[in-house]
Amino acid sequence: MTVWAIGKSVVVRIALAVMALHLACAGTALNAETPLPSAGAWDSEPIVPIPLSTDLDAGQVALGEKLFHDPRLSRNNAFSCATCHRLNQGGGDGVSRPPTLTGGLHLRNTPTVFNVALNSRFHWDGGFRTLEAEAEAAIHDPAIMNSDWADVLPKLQADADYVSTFNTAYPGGLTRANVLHALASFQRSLNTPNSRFDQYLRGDADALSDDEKQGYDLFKAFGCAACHQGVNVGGNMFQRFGIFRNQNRPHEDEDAGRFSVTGAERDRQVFRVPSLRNVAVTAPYYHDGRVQSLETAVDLMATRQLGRPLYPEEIELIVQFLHTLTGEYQGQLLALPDEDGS
Amino acid sequence: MGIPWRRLLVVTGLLLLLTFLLLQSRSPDVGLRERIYETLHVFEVHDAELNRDVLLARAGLLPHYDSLSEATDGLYGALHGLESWNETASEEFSAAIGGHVTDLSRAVREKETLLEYFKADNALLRNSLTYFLHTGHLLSTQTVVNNRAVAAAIGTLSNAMLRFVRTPQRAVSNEIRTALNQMTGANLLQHDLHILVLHGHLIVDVLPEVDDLLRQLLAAPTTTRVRALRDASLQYYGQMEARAQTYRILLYLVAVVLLAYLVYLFNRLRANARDLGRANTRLRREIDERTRLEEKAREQELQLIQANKMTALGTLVAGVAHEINNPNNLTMMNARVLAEAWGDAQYILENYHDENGEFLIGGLPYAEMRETVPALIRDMHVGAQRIERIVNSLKDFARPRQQAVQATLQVNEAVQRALNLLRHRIAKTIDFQVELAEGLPPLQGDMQQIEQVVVNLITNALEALPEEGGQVTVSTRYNQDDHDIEIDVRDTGIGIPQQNVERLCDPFFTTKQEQGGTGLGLAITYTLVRDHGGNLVFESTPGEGTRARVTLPCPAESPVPAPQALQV
Ligand code: HEC
Ligand code: HEC
Repeated sequence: MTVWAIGKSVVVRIALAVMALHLACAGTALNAETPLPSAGAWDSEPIVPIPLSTDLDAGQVALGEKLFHDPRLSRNNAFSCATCHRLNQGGGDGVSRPPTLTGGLHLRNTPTVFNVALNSRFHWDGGFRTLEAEAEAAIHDPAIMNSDWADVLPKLQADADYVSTFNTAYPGGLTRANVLHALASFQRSLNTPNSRFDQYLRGDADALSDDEKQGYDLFKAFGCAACHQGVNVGGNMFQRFGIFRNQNRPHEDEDAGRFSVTGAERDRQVFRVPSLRNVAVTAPYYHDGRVQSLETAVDLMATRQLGRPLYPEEIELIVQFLHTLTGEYQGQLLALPDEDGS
Repeated sequence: MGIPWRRLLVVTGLLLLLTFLLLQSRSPDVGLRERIYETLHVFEVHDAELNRDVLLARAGLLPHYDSLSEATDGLYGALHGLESWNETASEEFSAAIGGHVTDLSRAVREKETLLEYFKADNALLRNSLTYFLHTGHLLSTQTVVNNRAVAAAIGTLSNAMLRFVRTPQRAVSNEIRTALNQMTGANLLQHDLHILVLHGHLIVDVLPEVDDLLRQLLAAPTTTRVRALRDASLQYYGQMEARAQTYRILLYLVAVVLLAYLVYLFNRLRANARDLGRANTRLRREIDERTRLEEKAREQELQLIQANKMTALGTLVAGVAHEINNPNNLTMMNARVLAEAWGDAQYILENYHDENGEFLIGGLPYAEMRETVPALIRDMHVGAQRIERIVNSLKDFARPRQQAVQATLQVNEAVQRALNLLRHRIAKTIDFQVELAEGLPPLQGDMQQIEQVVVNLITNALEALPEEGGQVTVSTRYNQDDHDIEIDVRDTGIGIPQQNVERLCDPFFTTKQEQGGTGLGLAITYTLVRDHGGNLVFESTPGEGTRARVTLPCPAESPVPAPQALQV
């Protein structure tokens, strides 16, 4: 199976000889005869399967789930976390940018909470290092929960059920730190292991179709895997969105991205490379949700991040591969509620 | 004496000082130190892993960046541990360590920033290198057919790029840039050529940056900061230990002072107690002495009263005795004459009776009076005799005794003589014991009087015995304590009731009125003993017997007998 020759009738085989010379320099070796990763050999693959289980306290997770769905965490009980992070909507909200409590639209697209713990930093700009810090900020954010502990804690403490479950789950009972920890525990439990691609990585060669395997090979060969890598297929580094900018079209983005966190000029328009896990069910795409279809998102990636437009066939194969990244939550493959159309 | 506030204050102060020193002399929290070292070690391990993985990533040997994230998390975890300890630890600790923790924290954040840039740039570089080399090769093979010049240019460019990748030099980068710009000018219609130029530029821009970031990362001050932190905590704990050591020495010294003070107080206490004890004994002795003196005084007073009683009585008796004796003598003489007269008259009266029959005499019939009158006369005589005896005794008692014959005498000898006198009166049935101590010191006094004393006492004792049996013991002994001689006469007789014991020596006190006791015997005995400067004491238990004890003082110069001589 050839990798490079899919679009045009480009002679790849000769090129491979040259590539072999410089293999040491190449991050992802382009190899015409890309061997199937053998069982347990995924160490050398840029993507790592999600662990099949987490060792979390079931009581704390259950408590966190309840809190996650509890509107009392917001002022006037307007929103719960699940208002925007819907578990039946791929962990997001399905809209480009969620409406804020104040009536406008949020600056950025809602990221999925599935596999969120596998990210090394949180938010599109990487502004948070821990889930606890993120939840604390979400509760205080006027655009999200618009609340504070003086509002939240008494409401929770008025609920005898919470008080008793907290007392059994935590030595300290119902406290700010424990609320945050419970929320984080629940989110840590939101991993989606056992995607078909993970099965493939674990050695099940039949888990992927030939096209999907080709899609993966292209994903690596085109260099997508230089940014989208690791267990979460992204989520562990930052990149400018638009490395190869169209000189004629200046960047239209208002969002300064990571610059708003670091203040460093070089971080303008830099965003966290998002995880591509479950990407098929987390549309719309990009930090502002500007793209609805995965094909467009991939296409845009190729031109902007790789400086090499893809042929529709290549896009198709890659998208097919991206679909294999959809994993299971509580034994169920993630799906959108009204998926018949897509 | 009130509460010794000053001493109490000193001891309390010393104890407080001890407590303070004890608290200060505690070794610094070794557990925390160990945790800090452990954490620093963990930090270094993660830092080393980070550096290693950065190098691997640069070499294209790291398939993904997760391990870098893990290492960073490890650094932050260690850092948070240090920061939280710094927050909870003492001010001194924070002052010594806090600055270094902040430095380390800053170093970590800076390194993380560098790392993020490195990850981003390295990913781009990897991709661009791939694209450049691949596209370059494609083009060179494609364009060989159409355009020799372009093919040559691509060949030179690839060559330069290879050199640049191996050793990035400014000259080479300029060379590449010029070549790339020429191509841009030449023919950008060709799609692949465009890619080549784009990535070529990126490589030339980014590769030096990546290497620079790599160098900065490896040279990041985390290692120095860790070392500084470790040195600081080493120094801090060293100082704390040294301080604790100083306090420990102080603690020891203060403990010694306290101990010395307590020993001093204890000794004072003991001295006081000893003084007190001594004063106590002295006091007790004084009290004893005083009671003894008081007793003696009372005794002497009693004796004085007794003596006065005797003297008064004696004077009275001496006067009265004579007055009684004369009429009594008359009565006695007359009674004798009367008896003779009756004897003579009886003959005549007998005859008269025989001749004239019964007649009255003195209001009674003669036949009766014939028997009665001699008895009456005899009674008269006997009564007078008794009066005479009493009066004689009284005279004896009251006689102004000439200073007794002051001769040296042996008490035992006086006792022996008394026993000889009484020999015939001591019945065979009586168990009579004599226990005379040998080697008694001689006495000054009147042998006869002492003899009479013993006789009187033995007579008394004998009279106290029951009809049959009984025991009388006479003994002498020397009393070393009082330097006098004791003569004891004990009997196992009826005893004397307590209330009578005190009156025994009173004149005319007698319980033997019927047996003709005059009640003067013991009074006289007592007077005799007193005349010798001695004393007479009775002790009695009714039903068991009586002991009479005569004490006679030895003259001061008389030799004290050897102890063994005391044994009887
Ligand atoms: C109004 C909609 C809304 C609600 C309600 C909301 N979120 Fe979010 N959430 C967002 C948006 C938008 C972002 C992205 C923000 C950004 O990147 O600037 C986000 C980001 C996050 C992330 C980071 C995900 C990642 O991969 O970086 C987490 C975690 C998260 N939210 C958790 C929560 C929790 C917990 C709650 C409830 C306390 C909550 N959210 C409530 C909209 C919402
Ligand atoms: C240089 C790094 C880089 C490379 C190479 C790269 N991407 Fe991305 N990718 C990003 C960044 C950054 C974003 C987020 C951009 C934003 O939203 O501002 C992104 C977003 C995406 C998204 C949208 C995900 C979402 O949930 O919003 C998809 C899909 C995607 N990339 C696929 C690909 C594919 C396919 C390739 C290879 C053809 C690729 N990417 C190559 C950096 C990269």
